[in-house]
Amino acid sequence: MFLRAPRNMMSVAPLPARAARQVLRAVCVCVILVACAAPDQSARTARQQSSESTTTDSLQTQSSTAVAEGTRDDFDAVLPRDARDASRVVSLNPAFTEIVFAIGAGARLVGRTQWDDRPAAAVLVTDVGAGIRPNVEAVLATRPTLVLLYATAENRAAADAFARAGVRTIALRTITIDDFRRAAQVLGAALGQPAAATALTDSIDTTLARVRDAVRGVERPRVVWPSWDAPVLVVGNASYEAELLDIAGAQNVFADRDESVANVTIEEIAKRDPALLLAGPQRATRMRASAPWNAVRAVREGRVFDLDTTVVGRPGVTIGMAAVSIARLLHPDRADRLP
Amino acid sequence: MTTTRAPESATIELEFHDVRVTYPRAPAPALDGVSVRAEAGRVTAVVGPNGSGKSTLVRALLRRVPITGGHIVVGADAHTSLDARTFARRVAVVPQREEVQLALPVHEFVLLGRHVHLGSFTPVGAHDRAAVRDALDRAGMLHLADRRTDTLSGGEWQRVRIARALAQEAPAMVFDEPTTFLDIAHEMAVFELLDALAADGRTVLLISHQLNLVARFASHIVLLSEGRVAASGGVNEVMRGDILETVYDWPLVVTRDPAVGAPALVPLRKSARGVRSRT
Amino acid sequence: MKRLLVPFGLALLAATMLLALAIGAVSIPVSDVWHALWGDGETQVVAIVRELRAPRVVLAALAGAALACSGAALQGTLRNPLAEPYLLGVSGGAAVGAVVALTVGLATPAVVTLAAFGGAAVATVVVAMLARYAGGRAEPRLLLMAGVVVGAFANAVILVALADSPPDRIRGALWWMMGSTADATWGAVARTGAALLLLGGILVVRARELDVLSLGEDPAVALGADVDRAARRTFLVASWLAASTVAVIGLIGFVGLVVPNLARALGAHRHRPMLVVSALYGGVLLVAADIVARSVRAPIELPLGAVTALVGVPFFLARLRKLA
Repeated sequence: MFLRAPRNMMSVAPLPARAARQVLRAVCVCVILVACAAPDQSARTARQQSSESTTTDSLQTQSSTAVAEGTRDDFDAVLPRDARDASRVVSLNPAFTEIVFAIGAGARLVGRTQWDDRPAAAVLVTDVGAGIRPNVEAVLATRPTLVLLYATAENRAAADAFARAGVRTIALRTITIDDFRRAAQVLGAALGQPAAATALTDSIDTTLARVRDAVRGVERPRVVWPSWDAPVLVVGNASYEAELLDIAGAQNVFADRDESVANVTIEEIAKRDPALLLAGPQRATRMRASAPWNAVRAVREGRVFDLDTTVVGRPGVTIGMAAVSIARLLHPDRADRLP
Repeated sequence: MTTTRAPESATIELEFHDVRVTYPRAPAPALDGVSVRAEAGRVTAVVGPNGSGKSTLVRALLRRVPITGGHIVVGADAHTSLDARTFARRVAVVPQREEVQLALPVHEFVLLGRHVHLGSFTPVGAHDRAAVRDALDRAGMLHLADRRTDTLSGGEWQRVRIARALAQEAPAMVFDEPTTFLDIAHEMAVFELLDALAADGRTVLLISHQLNLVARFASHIVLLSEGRVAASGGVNEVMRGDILETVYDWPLVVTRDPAVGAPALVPLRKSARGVRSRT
Repeated sequence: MKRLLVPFGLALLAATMLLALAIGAVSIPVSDVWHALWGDGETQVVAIVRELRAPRVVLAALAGAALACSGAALQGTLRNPLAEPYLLGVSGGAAVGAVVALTVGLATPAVVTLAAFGGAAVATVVVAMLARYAGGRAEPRLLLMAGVVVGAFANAVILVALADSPPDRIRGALWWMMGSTADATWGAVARTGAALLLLGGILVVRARELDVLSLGEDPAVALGADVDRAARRTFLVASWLAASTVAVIGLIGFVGLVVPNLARALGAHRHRPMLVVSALYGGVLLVAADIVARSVRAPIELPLGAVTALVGVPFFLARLRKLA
């Protein structure tokens, strides 16, 4: 017979204690998960506070009717009601830079992105690097009072950072021609040049109207406008390029797509058989030389036309001239009616 | 004041009862109804050729392989019913092989043997250090207590692992081929240690190749062959030429060594033409 | 020498952090930086130092510590000095979470953080379950293989998600994956600190168990460790610790690989001191990498993950040679 060891001498920590430790651990982990879920409130509040920090009297003269009290920018921050904060402005988007100069407020600019090359005077302004995911510190080095951001999701963190640093931001989209008009009005109000902004948008509207008139009644060619080769992206709907095509008397083959930029295949383009294609010069050259692209009849038959990217590249102040240049390409017979 | 448990004063028994183990996708069972009983106060040895299932016994005990038949009892309980700590408090196992994973000074390495008593939270106490010192001494490694484990020779490493198991202060100890890399002197020292442990009242289960030393030191021997028990009992019952020759499939004779009075195995050479002739 | 490791590490960390505070796109004299920390000086300078640089530097230190701790624990559990959290599904899962959030347009930093952490947490649980399903136990070999499989699957999901996305979303996803402290806020710092304290704390407290686990499966069982449960717990805790950093800082590799090996080379072998030393030197490494990322081509910032890889790859090769 062997001796049996008394059981209680060798027992481990009682079961409840062990279970309690494991439950505690699980609870802690859940707390972390929930804490991670809590959005970063501090920055959001700071941004709203900085955009609402105006007193009742407005120092600057006119306040545009377009900026009613409570109007917000595309990041949902309250827009300024006057040009109080606009003594030192950094523009982080080429279109905004163009607008700022066009409305006569160029002197207020103390920073621009590396891509802002128009107008010529813009080159003299300090280059602060990228416009998307800007280097916040480099921007702050120019001691701005107002920063103009392109309203894309990637810039949200920068907007928060500027807010935390006490600098006001205006975030705007520029996807459609309406966006551009709005941007001009907002910037006009914010920089104390509402009348100049109105004049700018009016002049562009006039040009666009003249182009529409010039091509009225013409037969609309079926057009495809590839904006990227790999993958093949074409102009779809709800973008300024789509609007330009419409104004300039074309029929966008891919207007049935919802997206402003549609992912398609060369095969599909070939199948839809457009009458002609529009592309920037470098892309156009590549397309003409490419075997897959030559499956599209219009490419084979040499109907790929170069766009003047100096005017068509972005929805800026040259949008009127962009419409004109496209109309000239598509309807040379109506050239005499075009501005 | 001691902050750790005193060594177990009770004795326990290890019993393998009709144990069956089959590895997945193996044609035959590795263990096919093996029964071994290791009692307190004596050295029980399991011997046998390579592949006879000796190490599988240890693996089964450590729950590394599931048993498909029979049961294993550690103390009063089935081995699967024990949680890891209780098991380690009852049995200390020195596995056959171990790579050096942590380059620690030897005394810190042996201190890991106290883990079952200390856990993660208890601070190291005087009793633990005494146990480590004692273990190193018994394993003959006290003079190398400050050397790092990645600088030891094969034999020193083996003895350090034995020391670690000793520091665990468990009433039962299992040694799987503990003398593989040891020279004569150290090998004898280990066997004498096993003898002393048994004399202390511990349960010692030894897996070994060294038939002659086993014959001198073990009170109970189990001879395995192809997963079954070929012979079991005292020295004189198991250390017999006919049984051993069959099991090992090699010509040998068992003589009586006058110097120690225990049976000694002498392997013979096969004839030049490769055919053995029974004489 | 060993006794000095921790105080020296602390001092080095403090010095590196101060240096990081003093460096940036705007050149601010060191004395002004010091004053700005306490709130004195021009508002812009104070804002830059306190709201922009300080959170980044602290976050880098915390994330580096967390990644190094995580790597140390995983190397011990898996008994492999080349293991790191990214091998085990953390990076793949986090990237899937973040990229999916970015490509469906839910791109506020908070949502991306949560999605990344959730993705990583789910991925590590899947890895643990896969290993268990394959072998019945959380065995190192199986964990590594399951991690590779999950990682490959995650990459495939990411590519599919990006294939149909407009260029700006792809760019956003790529930026996230490259790793950066640019979006650091004090909130993110607090969360990472809490994770480090809690999860890292669990690892440090249970360090002795790690010592035993790292010996091998047979010895660990023989010494009384519940190997299966302990390995799974360590794996999950270490992976979630790494996940909490990936969620806020993107994918930054090699820290979890290099630093624990460095700690061992400096003489910290037992896991309790090794975890602490790894944490300190991990913080130093990541803060230093952040300095490099921000200053080499200012005002353009290099991706943090790229800088740590540039440090890590030669180290990795040297270590391989030593092992061979």
